[in-house]
Amino acid sequence: MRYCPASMLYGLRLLVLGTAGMITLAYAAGLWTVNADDSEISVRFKQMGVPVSARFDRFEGRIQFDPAVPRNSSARITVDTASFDIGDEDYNAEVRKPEWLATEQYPQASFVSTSVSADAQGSFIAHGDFTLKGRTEARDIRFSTEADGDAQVFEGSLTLSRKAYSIGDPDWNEVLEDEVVINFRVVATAD
Amino acid sequence: MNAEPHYTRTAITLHWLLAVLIFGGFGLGLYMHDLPFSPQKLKLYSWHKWIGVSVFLLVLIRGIWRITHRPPPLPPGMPAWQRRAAHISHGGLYLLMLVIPLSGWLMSSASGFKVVYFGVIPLPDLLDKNKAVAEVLVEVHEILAFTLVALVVVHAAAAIKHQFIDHDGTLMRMFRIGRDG
Repeated sequence: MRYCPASMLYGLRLLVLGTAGMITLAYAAGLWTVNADDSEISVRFKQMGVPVSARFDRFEGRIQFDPAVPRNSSARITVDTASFDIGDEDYNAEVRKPEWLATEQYPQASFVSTSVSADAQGSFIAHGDFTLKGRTEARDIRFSTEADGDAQVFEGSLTLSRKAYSIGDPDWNEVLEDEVVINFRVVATAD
Repeated sequence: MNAEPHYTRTAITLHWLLAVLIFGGFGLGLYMHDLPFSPQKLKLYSWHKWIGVSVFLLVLIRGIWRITHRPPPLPPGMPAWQRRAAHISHGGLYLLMLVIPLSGWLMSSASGFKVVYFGVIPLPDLLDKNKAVAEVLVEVHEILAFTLVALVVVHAAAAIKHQFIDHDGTLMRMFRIGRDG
C-alpha cells in the first residue's frame, strides 16, 4: 500500500466525525421532553357501576429511553393534581378537597423511575417511586413505546386503590369504587 | 257489572306501575336537581335514570300489549270532541313516556355519565360528551317532564270527572280486573 498522508488524514477525520455523529445520534434518540399538549393522562373509575373518566390537564416530564439497553432509561413525570378535570366543576372542586387529592397541601403527584427493564412481550416495565398525596411507594409501571415521526410515544396504565392513598371521603364509598386506573399516552419530543 | 268491558290484568298492572314510576321519577328529578353536590345526589341520579329506563321498557311492553289486546271501548254516549281528546291525550302520554327517558339518556351521554341500568347493564352512549348539547338537553328533558305531568293531571281529572260526575264507570275500568286478564 502506498503511503498517502492525505488519505490517512481523511480517514482519521472520518473516524472522528463518525464517532461524534454517533454520539450525537445516540443522545438525540435518548432524551425527550414530554409534550403535554399531545399527551394524555386520564383517570378511570366507577360510580355505581358507571364508568367515569377524567384527565389531568397539566403535567411535565423528562424521559431518557434506550430500547436496546432498557436499563439506561429513566423517566420523571410530575402531574399538577389541581388540574384534575372531569368536565364538571362540582366534581372537580370536590376532588381538590383535603379528603381527596388535597391539592393545596399536595400540589403534585409524581413518578420517578429507578430502573427500566424489558419484558418478554416486547413491552417494558419502569420500576420507580410513585408519589401521591404525600405518600411514596415503589411501583412498577408497564408501558409500550413506539416512534411517531420525530416523537416517541409511551403508553401504559397504573391501577391504584383510593384507600391505599387515603383518597376519598368515606361517605362516598357507597357510590364510588375503590379501584382507579390511570392511563397514559405520553408523547415526548427530542431535546 | 261483570258484563262491562274491562282492561286486562296486565294492562291494569302496567298502568299503575307506570303511574307510580312516573310520579316517583318526577318527584325525584325535582328534588335531586337542587341538592348540593354529594354522594347522595349522585345516588339519586342513578336511581332516577333506572326509573327512566324502566318506564321506557314498560311502555314498550304496554304498546305491544295494547296492539294485541284491544282496550275496552270508550263509554257510549261520549261526545265526539271528548273521544278525540281522549285519543290525542293517550297518544301524547305514550309518546312522552318514550321521549322523556330518551331525552334523559341523550343528556346522560352528552354529560359524559353513561347510563348503567341497575348499575349492571351499560347502555351505549348515544352522543359524544358535549357540555353545550348537554345543557340544551337538560332544558328539553325538563320541559317535556312538566308537559307529561300536566297531561297526566288532565288524564286523571278526566277519569275522575267521568267516574263521579258522568257516572259512566271510566275510572273503575282501571281498577276492576276483567275475566280475560
